[in-house]
Amino acid sequence: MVRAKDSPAKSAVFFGLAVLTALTFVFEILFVFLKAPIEARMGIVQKIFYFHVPSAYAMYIGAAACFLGSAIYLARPTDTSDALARAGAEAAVVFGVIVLTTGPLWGAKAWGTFWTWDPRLTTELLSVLIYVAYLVLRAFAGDGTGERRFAAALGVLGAANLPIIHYSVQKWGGQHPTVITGRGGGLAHPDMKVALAMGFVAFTLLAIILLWSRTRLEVVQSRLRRAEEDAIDLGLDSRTEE
Amino acid sequence: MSDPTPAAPSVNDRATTFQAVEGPQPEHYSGEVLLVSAYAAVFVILIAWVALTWRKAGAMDERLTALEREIDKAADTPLASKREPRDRATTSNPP
Repeated sequence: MVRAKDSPAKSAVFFGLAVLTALTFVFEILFVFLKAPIEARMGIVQKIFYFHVPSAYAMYIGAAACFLGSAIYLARPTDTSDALARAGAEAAVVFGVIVLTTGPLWGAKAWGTFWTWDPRLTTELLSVLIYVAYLVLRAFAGDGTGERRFAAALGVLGAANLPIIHYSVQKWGGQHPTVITGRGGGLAHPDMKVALAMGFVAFTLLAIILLWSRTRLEVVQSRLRRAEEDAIDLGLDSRTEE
Repeated sequence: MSDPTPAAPSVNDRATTFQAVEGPQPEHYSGEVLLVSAYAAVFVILIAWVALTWRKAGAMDERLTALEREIDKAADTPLASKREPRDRATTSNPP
């Protein structure tokens, strides 16, 4: 079966987005280091905030994609929805690991310790571990319909922890700052707000292009696997099926 | 009732000696090193993910090449000697 390639318009949109993402990141880095002011109490280490918070937001985008793909797969199984769920889980792990790496580096200076079992930190770690479990399941449990459905259920249930991460600071307190959502006055300087806004834009674009490319790759992989199975069944392929 | 506002430090409250730290020192971290480490970590993690995706695409390319080779081989083989489909081959007795 011959399938049409991506339309030129689709490819142009993808590469346009990729270029825009790269430019946004360059602008963001220059702005953070050259224009955004140094915070009065924490000093230069506060600049971690401009990548740390957008990474957490990008993790939510990945987790939401995993939830959406999984829910659609449970309702109407397709390669695309399964691929979206898988790509979303991968994005959630990658951006979650960025959050869990940059946060402790900031905490070392601000709190004097790399890690504390603060409610937000703990729930964030739990969420990343849920998506790691999803990926381990996908990697080692095979790719049959049953396994896909089981993974989709995990993808749906895994999203239940996301609002808990968000509201953990309000519900249980802890040390984690609430600069954006709290009543602490937020970002005092306008350039701080611009730096954070640019960070959100950069990480949103990055999350979109990474999700798009990973979903596409997973769909192609599913089609290739099916073509291999068909070739073996038709006797065109002398190799044995895995 | 005592005054809740703390008294302003007087001249006598100032330190008059400097003492060396004895025993384990509290940890101090350089903000610059932590900042650079955090930004480096972001890019290392992202590049590692892109590299893994690239490897996955490479593995798929190899599988596709192998599949094309098998299809070409099957196309070159005369029809009579072409291997039977697997489901039938498993039920029939070999000669």
